[in-house]
Amino acid sequence: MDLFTKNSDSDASISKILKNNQLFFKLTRRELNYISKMVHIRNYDPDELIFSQGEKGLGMYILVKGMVEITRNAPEKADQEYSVTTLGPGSFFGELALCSRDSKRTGSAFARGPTTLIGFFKPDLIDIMERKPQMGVKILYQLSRVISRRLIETNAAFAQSVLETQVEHRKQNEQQIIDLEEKKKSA
Amino acid sequence: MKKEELDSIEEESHAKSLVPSASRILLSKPINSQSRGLSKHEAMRLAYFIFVSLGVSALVLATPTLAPSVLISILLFFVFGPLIDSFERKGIPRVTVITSLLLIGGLGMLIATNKITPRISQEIEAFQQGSSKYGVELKQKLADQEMKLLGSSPFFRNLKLVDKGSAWSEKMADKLWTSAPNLASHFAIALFLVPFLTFIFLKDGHKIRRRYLSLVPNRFFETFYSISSRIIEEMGGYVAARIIEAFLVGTIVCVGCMILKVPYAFLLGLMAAITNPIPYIGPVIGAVPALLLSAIEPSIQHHLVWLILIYLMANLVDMFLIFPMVVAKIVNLHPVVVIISVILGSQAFGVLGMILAVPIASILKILIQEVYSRIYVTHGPVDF
Repeated sequence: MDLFTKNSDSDASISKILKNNQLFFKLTRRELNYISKMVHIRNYDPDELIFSQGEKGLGMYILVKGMVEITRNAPEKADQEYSVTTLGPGSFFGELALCSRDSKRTGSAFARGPTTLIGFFKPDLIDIMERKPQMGVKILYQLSRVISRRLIETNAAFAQSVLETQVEHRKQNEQQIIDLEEKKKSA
Repeated sequence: MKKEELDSIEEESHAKSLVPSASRILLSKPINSQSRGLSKHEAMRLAYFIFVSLGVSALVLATPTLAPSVLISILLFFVFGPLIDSFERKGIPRVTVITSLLLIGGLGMLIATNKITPRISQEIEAFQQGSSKYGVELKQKLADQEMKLLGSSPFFRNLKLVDKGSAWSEKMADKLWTSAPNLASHFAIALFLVPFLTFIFLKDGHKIRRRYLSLVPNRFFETFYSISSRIIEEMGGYVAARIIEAFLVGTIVCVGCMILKVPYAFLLGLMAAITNPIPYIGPVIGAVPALLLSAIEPSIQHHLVWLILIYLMANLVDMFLIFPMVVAKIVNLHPVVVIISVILGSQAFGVLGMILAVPIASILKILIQEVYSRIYVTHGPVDF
């Protein structure tokens, strides 16, 4: 008896999209059907803001249709933004907000073209953990894998950046020494 | 291919779109500042959302036969929701649990109708018969006391407090009896509507909420969802705790009165339970009928100390066991805020306003906290 859901076709297509997402791909068909009745379908107009940098985040989005551009404010000019990446269908973003309290969005997201997103938020995850703990464990485990991989990638990027900075500094120092020696010789 | 290999391939494919690499950040070019204001389409969506919200609320509140049933069903949803969730956690289908619960509830109501309702009816009838006698006696006693206390001054003598008080109580009693048939018809409608609405709320509550949330404009969606989730979470716990608390206090008073063979034990228990949710003064209001009765009913005059002890015990159990363990953990409001909200509630809506004062104050607290934290977090320093 389902009094409030008439479009079971749309639920089936949501289940299919969720099955292809890393957070949900371990779930059984039954569990996916359950989740598909919980998630929120949001439609965005071209160039519409999805969320803003520094804003308190509530959850993640999975891209169903269209494109999403992630931007960040330029540190030196507050009115300018840098494009970080553009995401296509199947991608997901904002998942950190699912497991952190009062988390701030580290970038802004804009719809590029007519865009459809599936929203999965913290209250939905808590509801699943309370009502279907086994399913909650599967999602949380996958979420922890995503976050740990992000941490590894961020560490690698940070190490690379530090290395590049050190090499740059060394080059500058060497150049300064050469310049000084040349000045001494000429003097 | 092994399952683990499949997993890693799948992860790789997702990873591509997940984290922007450092090189992508460095290579990116500045883009024009984006428009963050509300578009015409979003403004229209916001207006539609407000219109639907206010329209549905007005429709429910303006229909006297519907409003109490919806309110009771929402209260029952909050009381039984956690219980149904706990059964669902054990793998029992939600529909089975709700149907069983409603059947057990219906059976309980049937037994209560057969066993308790005749007793309450008898008590009401006895009270109606004796009320004129009690009224005269009470009026006489109060008049005597007034003469003793205030008779010395001619100014107080002209006030005629007892006459004014009795006129007011007669007017209120008349109003109550004239509205009784109306109340009975509402009760009959609620008897059919409440189980139906409770079933729908318990089974499809989250679907109804999801449909409603789909009307919220994108720009306000996360804020609205966050606030509504916090309100439902806190209010659910608070309402359930208050109902359980009122039931326990009412039961202690009723059983105590029955042991002492005090007449109208069920009515006194019922009064204690109804007035208990009013913060601070509720237990005192609940004890007033018993104290008035002890002043005019000769059969219980020698039990007065015991009667006071029963109310004291019920409220001590409430104050030191039920309230700290159940209610206080849920709604964390400063006592001054509670008192002010109760006064404002009583000024606006009387007894109902006093009962609803704490939940409304708590909702306002959540709203202020959420809006403030969102403004602060958005405009405060951002850590990378």
